Amino acid sequence: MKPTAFLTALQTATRQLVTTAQAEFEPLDLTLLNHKPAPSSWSILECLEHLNRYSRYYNPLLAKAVAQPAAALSDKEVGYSWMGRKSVDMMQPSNTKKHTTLKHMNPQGSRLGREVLSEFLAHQSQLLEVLQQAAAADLNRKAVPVEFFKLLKLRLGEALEFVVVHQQRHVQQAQRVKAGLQVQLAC
Amino acid sequence: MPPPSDFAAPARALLTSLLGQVPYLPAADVADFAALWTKEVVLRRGDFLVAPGQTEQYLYFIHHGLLRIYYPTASEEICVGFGHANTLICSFPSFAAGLPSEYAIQALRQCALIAISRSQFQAFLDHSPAFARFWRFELEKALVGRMEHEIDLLMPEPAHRLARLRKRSPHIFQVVPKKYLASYLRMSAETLSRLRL
Repeated sequence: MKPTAFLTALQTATRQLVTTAQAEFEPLDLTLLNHKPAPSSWSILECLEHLNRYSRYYNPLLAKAVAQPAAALSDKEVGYSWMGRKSVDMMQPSNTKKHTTLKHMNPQGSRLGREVLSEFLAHQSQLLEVLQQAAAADLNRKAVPVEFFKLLKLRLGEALEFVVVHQQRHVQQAQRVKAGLQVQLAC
Repeated sequence: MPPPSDFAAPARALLTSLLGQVPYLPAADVADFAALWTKEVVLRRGDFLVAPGQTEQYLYFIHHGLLRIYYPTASEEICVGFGHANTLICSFPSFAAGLPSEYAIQALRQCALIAISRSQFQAFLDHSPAFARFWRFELEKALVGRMEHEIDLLMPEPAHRLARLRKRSPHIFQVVPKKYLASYLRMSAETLSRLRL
């Protein structure tokens, strides 16, 4: 995909995440936001807190990477490293394979409040700014160290895509939790 | 891991929050209603909430756990429904008409439930038009659900029965073990496994 189309798609997806969080999660009361569908399943806030932890790591690095403009403007296609391709594919919401979450990224058991939602929305604002600035950057430059293996660097484009797709995955998970938050009668 | 012994207050709080999402239920009515759910039940896997022959005039709210509603016969236990977290459950003919239950309601996992008696429930519906409306909508949904399941069972092809359930309740496949879903769809577990591949 060409950089402009690539970035536009990611911006649209990010704005959609904001809309979903504001329309579907913000109106819920705290009891429902913290409701876990099963002991080992995440509540809506746990899903968002998980994403917040990733954003705390990746957003500053992405901001730093886009601050360095491309050496020369090019319309070269956005390319993927093996690691980048694998990471993005793994995170697609349509990929139903479950993964164990890294311990420090797992919010299970933490006390969560509405600030998780506000932090999530703040991270999206930052991400939208980064995506804007990325238009002037080289999306193929290896610029972003992988969170769990910092010796390995992702290309800027694939890192941005990974972050957005990972967020889509867990926001959809949170939407499924929300769908179960209603009383029904079984008889 | 045993459920916390003090689940009743959180269960009432959850019920309150869930009902709070219904726009026409006044908050004061919801609070009064939730306070009436004073009976608490904890079940281990295999325990009965309602045994066949028992008259049970409580309406239960499942805080957590999974139960099956089945009709016992000499040769098999035929599943007719399931209850999981956030579900209201009862043996309807017993709850509504005071008849001894022909159905059994059994815990498939550890469960924690709170309950309201029929007399308190009816009295509340009589005094709160909003709740009477809520119950009317819930009964309508339950009746539609029952009729849809009736049609499931009129389908001669097991594959069609499965397709209907998949469309109606996709989440149920992640919650209820296969053998009970097979019973619910009136097919063998082997047939269900074969169809799901």
